[in-house]
Amino acid sequence: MLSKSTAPVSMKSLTGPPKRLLVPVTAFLALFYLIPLALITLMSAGHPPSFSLGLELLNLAHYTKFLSSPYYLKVLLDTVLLGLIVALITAILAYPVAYFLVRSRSRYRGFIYFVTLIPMAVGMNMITLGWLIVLGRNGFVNTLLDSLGFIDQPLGLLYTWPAMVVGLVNVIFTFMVLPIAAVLKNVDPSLERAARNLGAGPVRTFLMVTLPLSAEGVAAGFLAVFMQTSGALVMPLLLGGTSNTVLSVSIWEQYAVANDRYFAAVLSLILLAAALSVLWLQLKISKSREVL
Amino acid sequence: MDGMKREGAPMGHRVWNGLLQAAWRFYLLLIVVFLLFPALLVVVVSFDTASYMRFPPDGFTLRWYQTAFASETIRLAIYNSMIVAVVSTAASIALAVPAAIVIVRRRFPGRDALYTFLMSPIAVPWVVFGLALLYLWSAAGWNRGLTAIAIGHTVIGMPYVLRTCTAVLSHATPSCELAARTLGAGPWNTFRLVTLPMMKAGVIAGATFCLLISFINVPVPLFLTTSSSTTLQIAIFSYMFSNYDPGVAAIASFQLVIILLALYVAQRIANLREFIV
Repeated sequence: MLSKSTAPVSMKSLTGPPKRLLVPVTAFLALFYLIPLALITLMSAGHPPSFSLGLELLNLAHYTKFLSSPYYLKVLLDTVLLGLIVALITAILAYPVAYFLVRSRSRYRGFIYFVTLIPMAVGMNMITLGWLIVLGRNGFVNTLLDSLGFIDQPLGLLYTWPAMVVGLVNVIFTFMVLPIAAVLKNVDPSLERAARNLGAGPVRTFLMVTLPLSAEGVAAGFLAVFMQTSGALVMPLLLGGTSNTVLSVSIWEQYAVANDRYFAAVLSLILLAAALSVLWLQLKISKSREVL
Repeated sequence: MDGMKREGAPMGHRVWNGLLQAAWRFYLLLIVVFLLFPALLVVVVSFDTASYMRFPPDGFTLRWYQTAFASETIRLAIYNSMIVAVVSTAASIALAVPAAIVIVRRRFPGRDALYTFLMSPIAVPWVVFGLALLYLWSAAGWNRGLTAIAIGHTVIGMPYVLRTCTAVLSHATPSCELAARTLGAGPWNTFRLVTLPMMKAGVIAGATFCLLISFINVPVPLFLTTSSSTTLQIAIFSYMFSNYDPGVAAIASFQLVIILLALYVAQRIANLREFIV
């Protein structure tokens, strides 16, 4: 019993959901994302944090301070270097795990999957604390080496580059495994079998078939890890100590200790520029926009 | 690697395959140990009787848990973190779900650019965004606190919901919605009874990421917190700076339990693996 009101609606209203549904999210991001980024950009150019624009206040003094300081240039270099080292090590360690997650039918697969999620899920604080206990003066490694008779004095393992790198690789592992696995899932295993049947050994098959086909996943993982590493604050601060500063730590110090908000803004923009140029590079290399 | 496809491997390669398999298992074991060991040590140390964090532990006590939960600051921080996580996740869903539907179901100029813009907060380092948001609060003369933190977490969490929802919806055929509309359902009922159930798994997976990111984020609340609006991660962070007793391990172990429970529940109701692997 169809009444008139339930009769088929006109085709015009069937074109899909109204575009005005996009307004809330766009307005929200404009207010709480674009305006803050605009403000921090203005501040880096010497403008005080205020909505009344004073263009005559703009200057590049804080950028000059950065560019003329060998210390901060080294901090920038170290930040990029740390990101690259961590991304490279993580890529090498995580690739086999991603391969296992996609190709294996082992009953441990679910468990390994769960384990790779844990570092991302428990977060920077917990993993940092864990490595403080592993590497501390009375920590796991020193106690072990001491009881085996290898050392008399505890080794100073904390506040070094290796401590930062090992901790970051741990906490960031998930961000490499997931993109590689996502791409590997779409690589047809019959291609590998074909290569094997045509006489290629396992190593050659991997290097000539599997790896090139999954390169996009590695690139996406590389980017995600680089961005997570360069933005990480807690771990470089607590495992790297005062002598191994990176940009994120400098930003925090300029804000909280030196109380120089303008210079903190300059350092933030430089960190942002570093992150975005790696993103741009990755988009150039692959068409994938999947960044975790 | 048990169960891996090995069809067609010549018989003469059996020894080689056996060795390879053993090497695989050993490697995976090493990775599991590497990934879990530090977090496990935190749990072990949280029960230690010693007055500073060390290994091996001296004895067993629950004292650090008692002290931690007796602290007004810690209880407030746990409560605040949960509020912020729930509010920012709800806000992320409310913002991202309608956007995902329009982006997947409509074709219009600038659609790709808009999607890139809505996803772009993922590319901004959290330290930078936290500081930028603080400058907005100073410029506007607003009071920092839980509202600011929840808004910050919504900005960084929303893209994750948007991504999982668009992924799910682009695999669901629009003809279901079309059928509902031709059969007389209004836009709201079509959304409620057809589109939303089709997106359910995407919403849950995105919401899980959102909850986690909000719960474990340090840099954003670090700039926006005040003493009455401290979050659990900020409490842990300041504790690590000022103190070296196992109390902080007890707090961290407690949050580990919450996180593992959340992951387990999410995995049960929506198979997370479909979205990330």
